[in-house]
Amino acid sequence: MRRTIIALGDRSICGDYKSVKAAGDLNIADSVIRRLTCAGDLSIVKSKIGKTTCAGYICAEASEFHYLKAAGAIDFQGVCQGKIIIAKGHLSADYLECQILRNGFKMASVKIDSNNQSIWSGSYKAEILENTAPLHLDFDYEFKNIISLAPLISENEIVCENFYSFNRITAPEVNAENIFLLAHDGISINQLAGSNVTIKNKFKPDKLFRSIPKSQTYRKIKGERDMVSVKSIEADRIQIEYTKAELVSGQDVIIGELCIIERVEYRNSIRISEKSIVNEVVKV
Amino acid sequence: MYITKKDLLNETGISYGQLYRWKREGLIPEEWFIKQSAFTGQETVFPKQQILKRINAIQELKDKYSLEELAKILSPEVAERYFTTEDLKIIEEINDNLIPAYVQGFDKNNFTFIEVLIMIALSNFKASSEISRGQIIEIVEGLKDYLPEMKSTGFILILFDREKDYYATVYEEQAQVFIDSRLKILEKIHLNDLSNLLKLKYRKSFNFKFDQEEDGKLDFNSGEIGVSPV
Repeated sequence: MRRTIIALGDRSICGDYKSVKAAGDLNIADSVIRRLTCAGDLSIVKSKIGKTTCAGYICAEASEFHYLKAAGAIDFQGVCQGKIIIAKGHLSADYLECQILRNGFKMASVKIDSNNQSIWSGSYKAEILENTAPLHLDFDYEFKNIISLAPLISENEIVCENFYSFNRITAPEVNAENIFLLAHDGISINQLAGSNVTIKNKFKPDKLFRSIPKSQTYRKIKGERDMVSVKSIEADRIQIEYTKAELVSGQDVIIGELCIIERVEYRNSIRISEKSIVNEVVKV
Repeated sequence: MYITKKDLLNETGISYGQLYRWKREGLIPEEWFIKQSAFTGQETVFPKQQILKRINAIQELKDKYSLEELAKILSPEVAERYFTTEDLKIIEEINDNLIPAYVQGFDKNNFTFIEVLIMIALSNFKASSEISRGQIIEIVEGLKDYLPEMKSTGFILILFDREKDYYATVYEEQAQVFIDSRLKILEKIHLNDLSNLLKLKYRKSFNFKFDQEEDGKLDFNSGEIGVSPV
């Protein structure tokens, strides 16, 4: 492995490096770099990079990243892989596969309300999408888990295994094994469907949430006592509060405080808070 | 005929979680979840026969295969697979003597999964009717330009005749089709049924991603039999 190098101006490198620090445009090809720091545009072809931090445009082709944190547009060409990819800015990918994909730098906060939307295009596969900046899900994706701390918009059904949202969402439907929504008046969803649906005014990480790989720590989050409006909720186990819905249908249903529900259908058990209004309760 | 979600869950004994999990896994096509207005606002209904058949199949097969594997058996997989004339000979349901007719009718030697399903349907029909080789070529020629539009196997093929002249029509399973009553419907074939049969019966021959590994685990992505470039 070669020495540490500092590259200034336009440079091209090829080979194995322990550390590369660059200011200016840098072209990397067929290289293995343990640590890369760059301010300027980066072109990376068929390389493996350990920890990368970059401000500027990145064009990566058929490359692997262990940890990539970048501010600026990134263009992944061909098949690229990574363990943790944190991007702030526009992203395009022919096919990017990684364990953790994070949109935005900001740490856990439910007060994100920026209009500075990231534009992503292409095809992504990740074990988790952590969304900390407004994002439009109008690209191809396969995310096992989604944790969203910022506004999320989708014209299509959002499908994943575990879905956690602490901010605004606009989508026709969310279909996930486990769905948690922090009560927020900016939620516009027609249907929530899956095995477990929970809507609460506060969030405390549970065992399942803790088991999901993440790039940042999440602590307890408290909502603003907003009301969630959805058309229907269908799941085996439903536990909701601060929710207005036309239909809630499940096996075991708990209607907590401050809910307004037109019709509740249950199979096994039902509990309704005195502080909620339910027009019709039906055992099916 | 449709069945409501509530009745479906009651009749099959599955839970919401299972239903939506199977939808997520692609075992139940999204287009079968049909939204319609009801006194409670909106309710979801399903094409009754198809969904019941599908859920039975899933319940029967789910102990043998994983959900991912099942999705590959049950869901249409029509995009990337091509069959050569040699491959067609392996499929018992395709009449060997008709293969040259299919080559002539489709005017090519490599066939898509949907085209193979049409060949099976026509071979079955040939066995039970007096349709000639020339008439089969005519039907293939009449259909072939529409088949690339079919992105799934959720279609029905109808064969009918008028004074010993045979015609075919293909329409989506959900669509309502009214056919001139003067035409005599001879066969109504669900391509999905043929697809399931083909995938189960020939999963080893055609690498429907079900080749058995030595240790008994299922191996995906091995072998290239039957796959040729476009």
